[in-house]
Amino acid sequence: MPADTWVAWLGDLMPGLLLSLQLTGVLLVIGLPLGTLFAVGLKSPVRVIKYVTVAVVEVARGIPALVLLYIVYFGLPQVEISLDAFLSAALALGVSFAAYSSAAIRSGIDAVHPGQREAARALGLQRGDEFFRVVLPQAMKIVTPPLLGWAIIYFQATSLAFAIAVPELLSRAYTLATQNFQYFTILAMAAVVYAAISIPASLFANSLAHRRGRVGT
Amino acid sequence: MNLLTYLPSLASGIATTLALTALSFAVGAVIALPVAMARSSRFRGLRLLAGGYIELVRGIPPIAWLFVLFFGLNQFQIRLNSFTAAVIGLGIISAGYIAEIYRAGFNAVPPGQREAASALSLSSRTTFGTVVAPQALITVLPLAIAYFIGLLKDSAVASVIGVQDITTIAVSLSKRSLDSLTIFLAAGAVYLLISIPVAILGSWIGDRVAQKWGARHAR
Repeated sequence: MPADTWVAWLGDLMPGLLLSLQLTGVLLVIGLPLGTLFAVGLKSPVRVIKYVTVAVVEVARGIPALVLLYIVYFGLPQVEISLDAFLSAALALGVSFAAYSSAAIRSGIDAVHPGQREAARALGLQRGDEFFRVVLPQAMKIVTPPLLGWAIIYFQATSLAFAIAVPELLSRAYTLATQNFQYFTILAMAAVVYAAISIPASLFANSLAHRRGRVGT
Repeated sequence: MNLLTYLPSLASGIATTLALTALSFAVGAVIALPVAMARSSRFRGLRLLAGGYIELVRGIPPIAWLFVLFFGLNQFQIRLNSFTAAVIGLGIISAGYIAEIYRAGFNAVPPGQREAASALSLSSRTTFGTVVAPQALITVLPLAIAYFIGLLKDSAVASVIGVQDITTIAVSLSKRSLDSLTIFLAAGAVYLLISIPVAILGSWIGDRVAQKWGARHAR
């Protein structure tokens, strides 16, 4: 197999990779604030809010991400909410990301030293300022490594969008494979592209976690 | 909108989903043994090899593994049916995760236990079989059960290569009706409903094992 054919195929996969990365970005834009909201809900002193959040998180985690994708893409149009394939994938995966990451975000919030809240209150900050300007920024710093881990998992999960015909990396590889009949070569190439991004990213996340651990933040 | 309408039709996929999950888990649990042993080997080469395997399994999405096995192997005239491809693919993946679970289990056994066994001049086989493994099992079981439940949900990706599981049946039902929302919500409910008894059974087994082995090896 000539090497330039491989390079050409790799080039053909790149727009798909770009779309996978865009999908990851959009799902994080949906998932991170929602995950933070869930985390706050899980800590709520109001019982109803707490139990409703627990139920939503458990249901979103208990249903396969692929089924969530189908609920949004094929199901929601039935109640007059029609999103295109890309947005459906971003919404479904974003909700799933939020459910899984909420536990990490919650423990991040718990890990902020209580003295910080007391200081904020002593300075007469309002509750909103106390949370958004004192607690949350420090919590986010603590949870960056685990959230990066989840982001890498969801970058890979964007491959599920194949099932609703989003032309992301795996879909492009599949289409290209059906044109050339080089199924193994091209699909394995796509798999290697996923690994080439995920593995260094997770090594980076690990080193970040270790560095944090040593400094003790 | 009545979720119950679709439960009987979806139920026919439950057996496939459970069989797929159980077989993949079994394949993974077996392959994981040499992987876990290599991962904590004295030889650097073996450690790197096992570490590389685990990273690869984590770095490539499950659906890509299934595609390579189901469509990719056709290039070499190897035709697997979709169920076999899914079992092999999910088995390869779970081996990586289960190997890490085994390792966590063995690391959780205090080194004093091994030292005591060697002071009593137990053979290495007896040490492993009657001292280390039972104590490791207490750590391994809850993690393995949590992984099994995760795998149950991950097995839904096998629908993409045509395995007749809960998700595939939901997709084909929804193509013949205008009630997609109910059908997919019902499918989601089925996954939730089968996870719950698995979790209960799992924690029951976990408790039994902890009672049986934990007391005798109390520290």
